[in-house]
Amino acid sequence: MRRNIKLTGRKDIPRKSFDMAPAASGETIDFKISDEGTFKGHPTNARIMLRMTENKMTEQLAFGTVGLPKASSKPKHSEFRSPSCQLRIVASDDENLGMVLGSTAAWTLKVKGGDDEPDAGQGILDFQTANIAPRIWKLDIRDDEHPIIYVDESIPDATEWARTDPHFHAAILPVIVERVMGHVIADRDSEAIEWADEWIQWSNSLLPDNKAPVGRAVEEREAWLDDLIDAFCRKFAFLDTLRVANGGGTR
Amino acid sequence: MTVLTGLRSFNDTGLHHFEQRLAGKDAEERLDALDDAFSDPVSGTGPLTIREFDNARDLAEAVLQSLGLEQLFPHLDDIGLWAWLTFVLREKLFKKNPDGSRQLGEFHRWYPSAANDWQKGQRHLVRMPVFLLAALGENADHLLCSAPNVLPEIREQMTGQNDMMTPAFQGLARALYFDPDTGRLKRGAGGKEGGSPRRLRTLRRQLEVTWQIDDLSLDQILAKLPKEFDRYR
Repeated sequence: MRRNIKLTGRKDIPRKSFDMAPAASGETIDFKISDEGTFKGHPTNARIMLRMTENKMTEQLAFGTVGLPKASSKPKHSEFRSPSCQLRIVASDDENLGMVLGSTAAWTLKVKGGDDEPDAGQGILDFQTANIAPRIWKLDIRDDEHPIIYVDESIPDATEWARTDPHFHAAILPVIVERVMGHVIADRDSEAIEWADEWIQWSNSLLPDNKAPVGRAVEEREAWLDDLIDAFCRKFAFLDTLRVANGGGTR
Repeated sequence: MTVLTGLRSFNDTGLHHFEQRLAGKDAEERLDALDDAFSDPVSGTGPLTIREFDNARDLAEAVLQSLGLEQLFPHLDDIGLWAWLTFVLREKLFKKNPDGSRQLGEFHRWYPSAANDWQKGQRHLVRMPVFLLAALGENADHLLCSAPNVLPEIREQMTGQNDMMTPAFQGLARALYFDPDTGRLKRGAGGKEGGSPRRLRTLRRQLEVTWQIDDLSLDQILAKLPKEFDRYR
C-alpha cells in the first residue's frame, strides 16, 4: 500500500482507516479504527484528537491514545451542525510535545440536518441545508475545505432536491462551477490547497488538452472558464435533461 | 444612560423597517423597537444598560450580561435579535453626518449576516464582539480594545479564518499585540510589516501543520516564531 510522507514527517491518515459518526443520541461522536495498521506506526502514548470547526466555533475532542483509543467523546458545543473536521495524532512525550505526527485531510462531519451517506463530504462539492432565506441557494467557498452549497432549509428535502432537480442542475451548477474555478485559478498558490487542487484535477479531466491556467492573466482565465463550462454542460447533458424534464425530447 | 428591561428580536416587519430606517430611507424615530408590532421579547434575558462604552469589550460585556452566556450560542443566528441590538445601540455605534445620516460603513457591519456566513459575520459590530468575548474571554482583549464603532484591522486579520478561534492562537496574538498596561494595541500592530497580525495569520497555517498549538504553552509557541516577531514579544 502506498503511504504518503509529508515533508514535515507528518503521515497522511486515510479517512477510510476509521469510522467517525455522531451517535444515535446525537450527543456524542463515536470513533472506531477500521485499519489498525494506519495507527500502529505511531507511539502508543500519542493522542488522537479531532478538531471541529464551524461558524467560528472550534473544539478539540480527545479520543484517547493510539494504544488505548476512546470509543466516543462528547462535544461541549451542541450547536455544531456540519463542522469541518480533521483527525490528528499528536505526540505527548516531553521531547516532541504537541508535534503533529499524522493527520487526515479536512472533511465535513454531518452532526445534524445532513444525510448519512458514508461518503458524504468526500466529493468536491458539499450540499447542506441552512436558513438562508430569502435566498434559495448560496455558495460558500471556504479556505480549508471543499465549497458548500447551502440550500434553504424551508425547501422540502432541500439537499436531495438540489442534488437531483434537473432545473437546479442546468441553471445553477454551471454558475457554481464557474465561481469556484474562477476563485481557484485566480490564486497562483491554489495547487498547494488540497481541495482546490482536487478541483483543478477535476477540471483537467474535463479539458484534458487545456489545463487550468492557474494564476495566469485575466483574459486567459476567462476564456478557459468559458471552455470549461461548455465542457461541463456537454458532459452532463444538462440541456437534454432539462428538455426531457420539461416534456420535450432530446436533440 | 438608558436601561431596557430585556432584549427583543425584530420580526420580519421590524427587520424591514430596521433596514429602511438605519439606512436613512425613513426617520429612525418612526421605528419603536419596543413595539410588539415590530419585535418580540427574547425570553430569559435581563436588563440591558446602554451607557458610554469605552471600547468594544465594554459594549460586549453589557450585551452578554443581559443575554447570558448560555443563551448566546443558540441565538447566534437570530438575525432579528442582533438587528434589534444594533438599532438600540445605534448612537454608540454609528456617528451622524452633518446631514443627519449615519456613518454605517459596509452593509454587514450593521445588518447581521446569516450566522453561517462567517466571512461576513465577522464584520458585525455587535454580534462579533459579543461572540469573541464569550468564546475567548481575556484572550480577545486585542480584538476588542478599539472603540465600539471601529472594525479594526487586527480583528479582520485575526478572525478571518474559520478555525482561528482557539484560546491558544488568540492568546498568542494577545501576547504579541496587546499592551495590558495601556489597554491598547502595541505600536505597529495595525500595520502590514514583518511581525504584523497579517503575517501571523499566514504563519499560523504553517505552525498548525506541524504543531497542535493548543497543547503548547504560550512561551513554547512564542519560541517557535521567527525573528520578525521579536519587536512584539
